[in-house]
Amino acid sequence: MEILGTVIGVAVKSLIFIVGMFLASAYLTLIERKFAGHVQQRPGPLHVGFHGILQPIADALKVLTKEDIVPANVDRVLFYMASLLAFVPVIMILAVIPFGEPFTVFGLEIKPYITDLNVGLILALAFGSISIYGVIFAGWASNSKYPMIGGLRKAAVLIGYEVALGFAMVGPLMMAGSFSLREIVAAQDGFFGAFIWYQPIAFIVILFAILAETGRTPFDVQEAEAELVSGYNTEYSGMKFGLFPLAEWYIGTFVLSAIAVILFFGGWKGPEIFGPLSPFVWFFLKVGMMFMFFLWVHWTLPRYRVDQITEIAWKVMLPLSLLNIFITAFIILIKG
Amino acid sequence: MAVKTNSGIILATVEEVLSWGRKNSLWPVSVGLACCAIEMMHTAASRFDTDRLGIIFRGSPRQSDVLIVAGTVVNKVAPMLKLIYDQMPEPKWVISMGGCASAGGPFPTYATLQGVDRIIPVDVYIPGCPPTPQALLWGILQLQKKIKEKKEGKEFKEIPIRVPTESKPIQK
Amino acid sequence: MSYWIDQGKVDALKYTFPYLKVYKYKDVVSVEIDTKHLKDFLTFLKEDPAYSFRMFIDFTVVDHYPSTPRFEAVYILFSPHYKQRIIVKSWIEGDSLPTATDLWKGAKWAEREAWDMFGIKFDGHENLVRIFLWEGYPYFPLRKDFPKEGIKEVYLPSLNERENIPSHDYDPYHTPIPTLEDLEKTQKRRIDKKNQIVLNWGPLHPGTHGTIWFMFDMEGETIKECDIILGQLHRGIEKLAEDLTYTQVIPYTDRMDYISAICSNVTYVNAVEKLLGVDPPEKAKWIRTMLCELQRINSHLLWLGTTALDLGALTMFLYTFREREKLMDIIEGIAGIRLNSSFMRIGGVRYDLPEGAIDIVEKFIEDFPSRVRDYEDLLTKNRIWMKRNREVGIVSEEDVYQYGLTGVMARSAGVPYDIRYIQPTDAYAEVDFEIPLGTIGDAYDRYLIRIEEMKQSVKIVHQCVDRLKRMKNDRYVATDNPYVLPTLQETYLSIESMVKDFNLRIYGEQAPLGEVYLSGENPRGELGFYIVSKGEGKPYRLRIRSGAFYNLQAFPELIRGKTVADAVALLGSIDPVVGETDR
Repeated sequence: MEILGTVIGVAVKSLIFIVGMFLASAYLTLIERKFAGHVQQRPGPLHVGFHGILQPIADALKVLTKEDIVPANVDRVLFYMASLLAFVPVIMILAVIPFGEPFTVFGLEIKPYITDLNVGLILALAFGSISIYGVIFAGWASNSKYPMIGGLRKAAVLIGYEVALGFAMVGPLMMAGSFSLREIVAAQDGFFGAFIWYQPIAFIVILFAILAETGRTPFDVQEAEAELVSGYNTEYSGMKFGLFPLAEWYIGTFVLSAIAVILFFGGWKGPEIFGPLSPFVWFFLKVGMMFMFFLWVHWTLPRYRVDQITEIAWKVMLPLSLLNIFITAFIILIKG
Repeated sequence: MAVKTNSGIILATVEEVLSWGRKNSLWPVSVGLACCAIEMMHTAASRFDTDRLGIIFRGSPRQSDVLIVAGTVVNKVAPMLKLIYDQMPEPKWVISMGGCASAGGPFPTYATLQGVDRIIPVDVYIPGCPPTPQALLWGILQLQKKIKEKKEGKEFKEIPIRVPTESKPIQK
Repeated sequence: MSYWIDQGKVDALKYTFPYLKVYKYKDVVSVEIDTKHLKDFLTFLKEDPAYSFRMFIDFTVVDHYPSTPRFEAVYILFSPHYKQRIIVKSWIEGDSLPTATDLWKGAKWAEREAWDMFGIKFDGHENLVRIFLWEGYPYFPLRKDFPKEGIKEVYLPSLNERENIPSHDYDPYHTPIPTLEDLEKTQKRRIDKKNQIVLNWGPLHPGTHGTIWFMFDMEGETIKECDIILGQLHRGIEKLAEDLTYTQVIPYTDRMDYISAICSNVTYVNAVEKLLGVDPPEKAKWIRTMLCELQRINSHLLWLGTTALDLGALTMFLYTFREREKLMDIIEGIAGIRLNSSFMRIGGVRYDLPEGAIDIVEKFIEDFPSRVRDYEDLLTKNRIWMKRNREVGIVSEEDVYQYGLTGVMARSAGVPYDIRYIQPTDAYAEVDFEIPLGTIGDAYDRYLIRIEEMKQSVKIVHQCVDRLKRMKNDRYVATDNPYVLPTLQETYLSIESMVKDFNLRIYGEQAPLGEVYLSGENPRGELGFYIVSKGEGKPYRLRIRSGAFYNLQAFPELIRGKTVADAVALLGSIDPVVGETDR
């Protein structure tokens, strides 16, 4: 009976998470367009529904009913697999992200996370790396020059930043003493307990790494429009195309922002001024701020050349993250 | 109840919703040919802002719905433009922007295509040399109207695309 | 002071080359030499320190059908040391000419254009293939016996109006259109694959500023070899102009370089005025100068926005277009049309300045410097911007002379080549401004120069505004000259003006026999018009020397060994407009 309850609970939660994430990502596109619009002194989507509120729905309807072209010379298996491979693992990361502490409603204990693994962070990193294959496969399978260059560029960028990202996360992990995301949050106590005060170097490295992983300017070399038309997804149309930006730009950025918030900003912790909803409000507020920061960077800066990006990864970010590990270890050793 | 009396109603409603979605999310290919491309850029920029209507420019033809032929189409670029049109997924529309694209404009010469409708079917013609951004927006609104009307059964003639092979001897 | 070679030097030349013929029209000096001695003569002009015509400006051919010999080759050269120009002409015996590419690399494309348009062969040219039209095109369109509308031999009716052909003179037959195989053949002739992949960058591509077609032979992302295919916007303006009166050509000059339409107008009108001997009134000169500089700001803003967009800074594009909209409104208020305004007339301008125009211009230039500061805050010291632009496309002084690079490309290499300064027209001789020069010659230098030029333009506009305020009721068009179209009021009120208007519009300005070359400083480089008149109401030959055409020619050499990402930055810094390169 208890097992059945757990299974139902996980299934319901997964459904809520996935559907919620789909809707949220659709509306994240609207948020981005509105945000970019107001930065650029224009209103953004305005006439489709009240202030463009129905715009994502119109886009989704159109993209879903668009003719789905598969060019003649593509590698069909990989071509179909690529967009799923980019999308599914990113959604899977959601399984280990906690949105708050367990709470009780009508005598029922609800855990606002699907699972609390003791290797949660490792799992998130692993899934994040798998989703990159989607991009590389898309570039390869398209059998076209621009997508191939885009895919290869992404591969070159990611080899560098995955390493830096992994090493940069070691700092907060050492301080928390656990891979479980819940326990990392639990280790951060109070305003000055947040790890951002102790791990600024790791935070900066992770910011760069997230920009690179999600392919936002200044690291959006894989789909640099002026150079590569639309990069790795040039040959994709319809919803097969739609999954790529959703996975990379929206869900990817959201999930990685959530991980950064958990690692550095104390997750859902904050003054309880919103009553029982306080943890959720704080969590989404913090993630929202991170997301907006990435948007702001995206719409402001020019982009690097691919060799400059890898240069930064290997010559600056990797040494910095290694240095951070040594400093952290040294301090922990002294303090005992 | 609707299902019981007439199954067409639901289908019609689905069509209506779809055409609503399509008309509010027209993504043009960012292809500029000549002077009109500058006005097209102005239409996309802050003052006129096509994003209000849900229009964003896409780099790849595979992901776009509208081809705005902005500028003079010369003979040499015509096959390429047709290729772009062929690469776009259905349903797709074509706006012929300006005099040159519509009918050759002020260039009745050996090198210029006298109207882009000789190689691809056109949905909306916009006059002007170049048309102002207001005119382009007006054209886009006309296209939206056309898309909306199509669902009501006012299908416009489907024209088969033919390859220009037939030729006649040189005449002076 | 003359900007053409002086009489003393011409006499000395005649002493060295006794068979030389010298023609002079106004101050334009042209010398004629036979084909046998042409190469030696050109080499002498280039190498001799007393002349040192090192800079290549233009090469073209004039078709004198049906006289024999039929074709006349025309070289226009410039001596950077003495700031003088010369035109060298030669009748072509047969249909071939020795190439000048070993003297100036800039002659490469010009000679290919001559082959494409006239069918002249060049002995020793490395790759003499069609430049604007495609391989397999059977005619030479600029020859006088080729009809301007081409030969309509393909059945190509409208796909939309199939059943009821409209009532206007709609011809279902059309000039030949290439197939994709033809274009492939064209492409094969240009570059043969030696490395990993050949990437076609363009012609319909978001990053190529129009319809230029680049071909990169790449090893990884490094470009080993590059070639450019032009002609994706070749509309035949030079051919069209031979069938139009001088006034009717003005709208076509708009549509050439559509980003800086007024500058092209002014240059063309100045050239025709020189040919006809018309002197525009003082006020028209100041209006022209003011509008030219506003247009220059406008053009540089578009360059800044699109280049930043190409390099990823999306918001910059919308910021610059905000200012552009203001300028477009000003131009619309003065000229009546936003983009291709055709505001200039032979002998002046079309309308007087409307009420309040000066105030609005003044408001704009007061506000504009703060906007430039915003742009500079976003980009100038931005590390990514510097990393992307530094060391990209370094131009040397020798390149400038070899390729005939002009405009910002020349000035970034430290060559003070600015037509506003070396050969001032309009009111440029009276205004005070500085010419920014680069030191390294890379894309970043060109960025800094263009930003500084915008500031200098504001300074010039200030002076024009001050002057125009004092000329409120002056004449704006010299209608007393027999070549100048009367204003609308005059036409309606007097019969003489009406008859004059009729004659000029129907028969055109009956220009005297002669030839002129006059150039102006376009935002894209030197835009020159070489007009040959045979005493008719229309130009016998109108050659357009396009700055972007020659600037773009240096691209393949500058990009070698760089990456595709650098190609974007380099192309942005060259800033070509296809309407002008292809004409």
